[in-house]
Amino acid sequence: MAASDEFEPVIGLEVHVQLATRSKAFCGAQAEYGGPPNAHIDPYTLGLPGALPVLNHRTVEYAIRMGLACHCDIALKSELSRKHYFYPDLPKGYQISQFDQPICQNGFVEFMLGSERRRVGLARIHIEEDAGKNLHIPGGRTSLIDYNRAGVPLIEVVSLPEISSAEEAGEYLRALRQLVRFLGISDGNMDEGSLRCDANVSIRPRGSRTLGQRTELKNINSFKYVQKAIEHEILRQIDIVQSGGRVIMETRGWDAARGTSRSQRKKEEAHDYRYLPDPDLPPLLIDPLWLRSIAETLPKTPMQRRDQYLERLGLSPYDASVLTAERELCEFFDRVLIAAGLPPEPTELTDAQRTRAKQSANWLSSELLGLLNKDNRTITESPVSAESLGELVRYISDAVISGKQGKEVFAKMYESRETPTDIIERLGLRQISDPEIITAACRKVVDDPAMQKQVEKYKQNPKLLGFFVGKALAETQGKARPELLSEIMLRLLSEK
Amino acid sequence: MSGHTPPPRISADEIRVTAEMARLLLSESDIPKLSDELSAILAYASSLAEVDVTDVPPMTHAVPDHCRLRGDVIEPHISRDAALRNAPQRESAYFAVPAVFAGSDEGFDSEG
Amino acid sequence: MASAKSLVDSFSSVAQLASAVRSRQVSAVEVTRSQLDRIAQHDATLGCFLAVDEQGALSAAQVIDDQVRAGGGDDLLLAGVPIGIKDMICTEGLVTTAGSKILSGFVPPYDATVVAKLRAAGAVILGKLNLDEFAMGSSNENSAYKPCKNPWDLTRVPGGSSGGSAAAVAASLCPVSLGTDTGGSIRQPAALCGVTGMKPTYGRVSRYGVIAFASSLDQVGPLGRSAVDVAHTLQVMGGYDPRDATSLNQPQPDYLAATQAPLHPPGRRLRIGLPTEYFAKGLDPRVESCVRQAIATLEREGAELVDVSLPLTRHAVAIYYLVATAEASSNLSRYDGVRYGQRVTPREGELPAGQSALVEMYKRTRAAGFGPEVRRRIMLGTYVLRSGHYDAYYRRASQVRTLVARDFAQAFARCDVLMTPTSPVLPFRLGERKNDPLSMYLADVYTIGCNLAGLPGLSMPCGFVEDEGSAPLPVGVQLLGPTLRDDIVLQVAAAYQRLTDWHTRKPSLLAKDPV
Repeated sequence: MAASDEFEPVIGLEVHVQLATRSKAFCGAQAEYGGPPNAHIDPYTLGLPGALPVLNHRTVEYAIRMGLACHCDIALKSELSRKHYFYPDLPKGYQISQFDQPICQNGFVEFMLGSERRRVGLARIHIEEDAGKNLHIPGGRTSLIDYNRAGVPLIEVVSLPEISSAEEAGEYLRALRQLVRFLGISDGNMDEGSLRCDANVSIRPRGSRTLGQRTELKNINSFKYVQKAIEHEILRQIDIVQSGGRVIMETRGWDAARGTSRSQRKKEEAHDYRYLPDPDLPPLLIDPLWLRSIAETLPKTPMQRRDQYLERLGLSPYDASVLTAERELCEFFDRVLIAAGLPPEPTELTDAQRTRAKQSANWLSSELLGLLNKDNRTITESPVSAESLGELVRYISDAVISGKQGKEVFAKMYESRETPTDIIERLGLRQISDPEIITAACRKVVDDPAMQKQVEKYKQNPKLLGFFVGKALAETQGKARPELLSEIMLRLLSEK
Repeated sequence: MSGHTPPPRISADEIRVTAEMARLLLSESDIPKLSDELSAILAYASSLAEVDVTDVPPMTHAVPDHCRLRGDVIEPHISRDAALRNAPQRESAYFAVPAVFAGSDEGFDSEG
Repeated sequence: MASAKSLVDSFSSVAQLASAVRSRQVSAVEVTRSQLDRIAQHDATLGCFLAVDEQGALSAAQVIDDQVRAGGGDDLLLAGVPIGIKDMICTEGLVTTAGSKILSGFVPPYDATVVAKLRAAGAVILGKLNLDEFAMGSSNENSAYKPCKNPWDLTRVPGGSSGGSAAAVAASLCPVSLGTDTGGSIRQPAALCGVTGMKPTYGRVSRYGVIAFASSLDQVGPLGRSAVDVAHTLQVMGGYDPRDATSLNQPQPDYLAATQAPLHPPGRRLRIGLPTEYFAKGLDPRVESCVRQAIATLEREGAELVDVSLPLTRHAVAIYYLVATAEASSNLSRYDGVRYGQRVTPREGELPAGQSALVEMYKRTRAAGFGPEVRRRIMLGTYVLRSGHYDAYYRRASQVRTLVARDFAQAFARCDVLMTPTSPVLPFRLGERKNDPLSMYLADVYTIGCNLAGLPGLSMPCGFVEDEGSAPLPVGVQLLGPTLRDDIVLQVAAAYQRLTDWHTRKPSLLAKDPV
């Protein structure tokens, strides 16, 4: 957080999210990232004379998913508009976007800032198309253009100016990334530009209600730099104000290499985008039935998962955070719980079941994730399946094997991909819990004539219990459940 | 344009700003002529101010209809050769233009 | 040089021609060759074609003949029918310029949907037809390449913007052609050249691959010798296209059946609406007289005449020039010299200090590539869309447009079709009106309403008038129908053409006029 007692920053983020559709937003060209230059091209992508846009239904569906997950109002009628500016990477001289009536309005995003639950309001989420890429040869007189990315669908998530520190901005952005991945609408990969962030930053005297003059920071396209760039901008503005100057409205580009920003465009040169409802695209009407089906199949958000883990399962906030980091991990964990014998949602859990849930979380977060991290593997590459891990938890919880044995079995599971049942059988680890067998083993020890001297001694010194337990355990080749065995032994000795 | 007073004449400066926006190079001698012609057309169009349009929705499409959507399927592309064939300037598989930022060693993509 | 009667003219309709090709009475190659000869003979004078695709046409014709000879081709509605395409419409592998220098040499890598449909039906594309640059104009004088002449009087304009499409049909260079109509660009040249031309209901015909002028007004349509030929061609080129989001997902009526139907709807008399505002000041009395005679012809057949009013007609031109230029300024942004078309790069030392070479390239490319009328409209359109102007101009015009459409809907509650003049004036002389854009715009007053409301409209010849000792010049009458009632427009037009022979007249000048 920018250190100043005198000023507080006010930050709003505009985040572009590239949607993971197969084809582009308004045409059938491939939307996939990369590829040889100018290979994902059709007449529309190139803005050829006569080419027309037809909106991809999945683009709309994904935008709605995001809107629903962010508690937005979904517009049953929205408008697609043209936003005009000239740039070589923009094939038609305009970008199809939404202006007057975006598909989603209002809403909020929730996330954790340390142990604090934060909520940042959204102004809107709208659909638009991406531009191509300009490549500039340093010192060269020519720029090269690749239109593969042109027309790839984006949503722009525009927050209200409600973020109050660079750190919070970073967490908000991480939360968005996590959210779009949970929703399955984007890979959220900042390095490949699937997530791009512009920040509006201003400062004001601490406690003031009015907004200061803002600047727009562009080009902060890595998690590493978001916080740094905003921090830098806050300090820059405080510097200006403290030395008696005034912040001017401008667009500044973040230069990651130099760790500084510089002015790209002053307000006077600001674009007049000449928005126009796109005459090629009639109003976008959303069928309420479609909307309902999207809502009904909406994947759970990370915060919903987190709440569920804390409240229903009784996990620690730490475990809840670890397990909600990725959607795949949540899904893996859910399968572990089922395999461990827990009832599915929304059945409430008994205390014993909550204990088992916590055990499952521990096995997953400390044991399995530990090994996977060490081997640089993701959860989807785990040699231990969720079903196997759940089974293991169940064996331990049912005392079929001991916790110590559990670790041994787990190590073998990870190594050989065998199921715990197979390993336990193969190694003969199954514990004996049958009181009759255990009683017989105990009797064999206490009734042994050679033992009578010790039995007598025991009556004076109950600490000798351990000696008898050890003997009886040896009779079962160490497989009897120790607690049960000592309980039975205690009873037999007291009868003597 | 309320009250049906003809709009003021479009000044030379307005013409220059508009031409800059439209990326049209004008010669100084074009400006007064364009200013006359555009002013005349807008003066003529100012009659629209007489019409009461209270609560009238704008008609931005000729036939009331909704935006039909397409399936998310990949359709035939045009080959890279065909894409580049009409290019005024190309370098290998790229379209080429004069440097986006003259005098800068860095390029930015447009706002997306 | 004698102008032999075109081989095509010996068939009374394109349906008959296609049927003759299918039954091998005549070969497609023969027909194509005869049209190419005719073009070679006359087009240097007329200037109808911007490109003639001799090779492409002959090989397409050969394919049809081969198919027929192999026993196929029964379903080819336009087997071997030669057709000219307005150069606003993309043709794969054939240069497409929109009549503009900025697209000079542009070869589209794809066919417009209408072109693909015509080809699939066996039509033979002869070449690309002259037009006003980007379809902006009413005289064809805004073509960046060459003027097109009216075959009835070579000193006069053929109208526009589809001037080449209308003149080519009038001169029998092709029996049917495609045009585009944004504010009358099919109907007005059809009137001025004495042919039949139709602008279908907006959305009936795909715009995919059709170079956009003003997207919410543009519509493609056929021009031909008769309503029957127009209907036949429309049947092939029309219909829903998933590649055009404004295309109507509606079944196509049987247009040909409509042209064979009687004048009156079943069980009652046809009601013809006469909008008073369309017979007002500014209408040439000689034009009016021909149009009134056409109305009388149908009245004699039992049609009922109804006076209707379209009070917002006086605002139509204003709405049109705000909406069309706003959309055009947007649509023409893509011509920037980056991906295709012409580019003008500033030379070393020409670059003003501090100016980016890229921005300068854009400005020079667009200034050099677009002609004066296009530049003027881009300027106007850009101006009206600027923030602060949008509400007063574009938005207000679009609101009044709503009222115009309501006017028409009210009128059609009282009649089946409207009958009006197409153009208030006779074909004027080349150069006569070039320097007065506003008066040129005002001449579109009768055709614009149809585009604003998205209605079907048709123009057909209804008489001839001599003007100051000229040869007889054609006069056109316009039929407008309610939305989606393209069939009734064709029905009335065909009925009228059964009663009259204006549409069968051919200009005689060509025979006398050595090339």
